[in-house]
Amino acid sequence: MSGELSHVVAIPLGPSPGRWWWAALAFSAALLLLLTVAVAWLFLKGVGVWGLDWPVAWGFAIINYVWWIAIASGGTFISAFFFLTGAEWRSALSRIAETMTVFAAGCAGLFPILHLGRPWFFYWLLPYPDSMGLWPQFRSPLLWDFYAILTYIAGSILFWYLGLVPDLASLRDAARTSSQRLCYGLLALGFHGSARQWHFYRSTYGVMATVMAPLVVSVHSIVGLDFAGGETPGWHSTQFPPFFVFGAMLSGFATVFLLIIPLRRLLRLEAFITDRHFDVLGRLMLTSSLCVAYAYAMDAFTTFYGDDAVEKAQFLDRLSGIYWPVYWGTILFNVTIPQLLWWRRCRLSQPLVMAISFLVVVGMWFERFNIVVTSLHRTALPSAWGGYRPTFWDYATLFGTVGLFLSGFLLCIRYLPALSLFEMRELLADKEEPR
Amino acid sequence: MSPPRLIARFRTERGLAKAARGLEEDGIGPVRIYSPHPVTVAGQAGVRHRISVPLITLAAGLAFFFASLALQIYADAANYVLDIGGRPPDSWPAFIPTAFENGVLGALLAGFVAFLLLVREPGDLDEQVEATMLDSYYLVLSPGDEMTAERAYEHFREAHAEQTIEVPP
Repeated sequence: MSGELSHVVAIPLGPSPGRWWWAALAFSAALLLLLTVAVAWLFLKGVGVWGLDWPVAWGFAIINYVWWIAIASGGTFISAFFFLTGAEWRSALSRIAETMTVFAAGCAGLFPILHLGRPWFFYWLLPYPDSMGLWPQFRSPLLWDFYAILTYIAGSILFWYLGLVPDLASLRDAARTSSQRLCYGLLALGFHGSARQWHFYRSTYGVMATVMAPLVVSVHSIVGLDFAGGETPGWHSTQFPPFFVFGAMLSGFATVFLLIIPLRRLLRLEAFITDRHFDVLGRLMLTSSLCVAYAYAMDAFTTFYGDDAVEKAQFLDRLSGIYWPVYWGTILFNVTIPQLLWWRRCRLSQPLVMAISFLVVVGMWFERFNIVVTSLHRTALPSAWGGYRPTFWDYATLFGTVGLFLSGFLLCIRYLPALSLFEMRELLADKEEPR
Repeated sequence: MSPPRLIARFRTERGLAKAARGLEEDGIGPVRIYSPHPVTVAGQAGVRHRISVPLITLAAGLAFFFASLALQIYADAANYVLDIGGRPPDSWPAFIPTAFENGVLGALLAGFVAFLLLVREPGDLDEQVEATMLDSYYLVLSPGDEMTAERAYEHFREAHAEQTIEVPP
C-alpha cells in the first residue's frame, strides 16, 4: 500500500484512532441513550409529551425531519452530482459525505414515524391488500414524502455500500487478523480488482449516481410540497420545492465542513483534504447561501405582490411577532454571515469556516422552525392563534438524534476508510503519470 | 484442468499498460488484468460485455414506475373512488411523484442486485493476484506454447515487471 494511503488503511485495522475518538463516542452514546429514553417515553405516553397543541400541531418533529433530510442531501450532492460532473476534488470528501448522508437520512426517517399518534400503524402507508379495503391517499404530498424518504434512505445505503466495495477489498487484503479478514472479506463480495469487475463496478456506480442526482432534488422538492400542498398562510407557495432544495444544499455543505475540518486534523488527512477543497466548498456554500437569500427575497416579494391580507399579516408577524428572533436569526446566519466567504482568506480560514458552518446549521434549523411554528401559530382566524412551547422531550429527541448521527458516523470512521482509497489511488497515479 | 498461466506483476499502471500494448501488438492474448483502481489498457478497451447494467436499471426503473402508476390508478379510479373536490379520480399528475420515487427505488435495487450477481468472477482466482487491492497491477495470460511464452516474457521485461510467475496447470 502506497505510503500516503497506508495510514488511511491502518485506521480501521489498527487500534482506535485516539482518545478523541473514545471521548466523542462516549458523548454521542450519552445522547443516543437520551434518544432511547425519549422515544420510549413517547411510545409509552403518546405525543402529548411533546409541546404540540392546537394550533401548532407540527412542531419539533417536522422541523427536525426537514433539517436532517436537508443535511443528508448535501452529502448526495457531493458524492453523486459532482461524480457526474467529473469533479476530481470530490474524491477526498465523498466517503465522509456519503456516510453523513446515510446517518442523517436515517435520523430524518425516524421522525415521520415518531410523530404519528399511533406509530405502530405506520405500515398503513404501504399499499397492501387489507381487510379494511382501504388504500393510502396517493394524492397527498405526505404520502409522496413517505415513498421519497424510503427511496432516499434505501438508495443512500446502497450507493454508500457500493462505493465501499473496492476499499473493503483493500482492507480484506491488508487485514492483520483472521477476524478482520473474514469480516471485510464477506463485505467485499469477492472483489479482486479484475478488469471485468471494475467494468461492472464503474457502470453500476455511474448509473446509481445518475439516478441519485435527480432523486435528491425530487426528495427535497416533495418535502417542500408537504407544506406547499396546504392552505396555511406562509406555506401555500409554489417556490417551496426549489426553496427547500437550496436550503438542502446550504445545510449539507455546511455539515460537510463541520465534519471534514476536525477529521482532517484528527485523522491526519492534510495531504488529501487541501486548501483547494476548502476553497471549492466555501464557494459552493456561498452560492447556496445566495440561492437561499433569493428565496427569502422572493418569499417577501410574492407575499406583498400577491396582496393577500392574511399572507401579509403572517409575514409581518414573522418580522416582529413573538418569534422575531428566529426569523432574524435565520437571515443573519444563513444570508449575512456566509457573505464572508466572498473573500478567499475567509474561505481558507478553518476556524472561521467552522464557525460560519455551525451558524448555518443552526440558522437552517431556525428556518424550519420559522416555516413550521411561526406559520401555524398565526393563521387566518384569530380564534386559531396560539403559541408553542417545546418540552424537555422535544429537545431530548432533537439532541438524541444528534447522538444517533454521531455514533453511527464515528463507528464508520473507526472501521471503514475515511477516504475513497481507489479514487485517491487513481488521482495519485494520474499525478505521477499523466494519461 | 486449467492451462498453465503467466502472471506478471507491475508496480505502476504505466508498466502494465506498456506490457499489455506490447502483447496486443504481438497478437498475444487474451489477457486478464487486475488493478487496484480502474484502468484502460490495450486489449481491454474493445472488450464488450454482454450484460449492460444501465439497461437492466432502466428496465427495472420503468417497470416499477408503470406498475406504481397502474396501482394508484386502480386504487383511486376503480377500487375505492373518492370524490375529492370534484377532481377526476384518474387525474394522473398527482400519481407521478409516487410513481417516480418507486421507479427510482426499483432502478437502484435492480442495479445493485445486478452488481451482486456480476461481481462474482467466473473460474478460480489465482492466489498470486490476491494482493491486487494493495497497490499492485497484474497481467495474466495463458500462452499456449513455449514460443508465445518467450515473447510474453520479453514484453514483461521491457515493461519492467517486478515479478513474473509461471503457474503450472
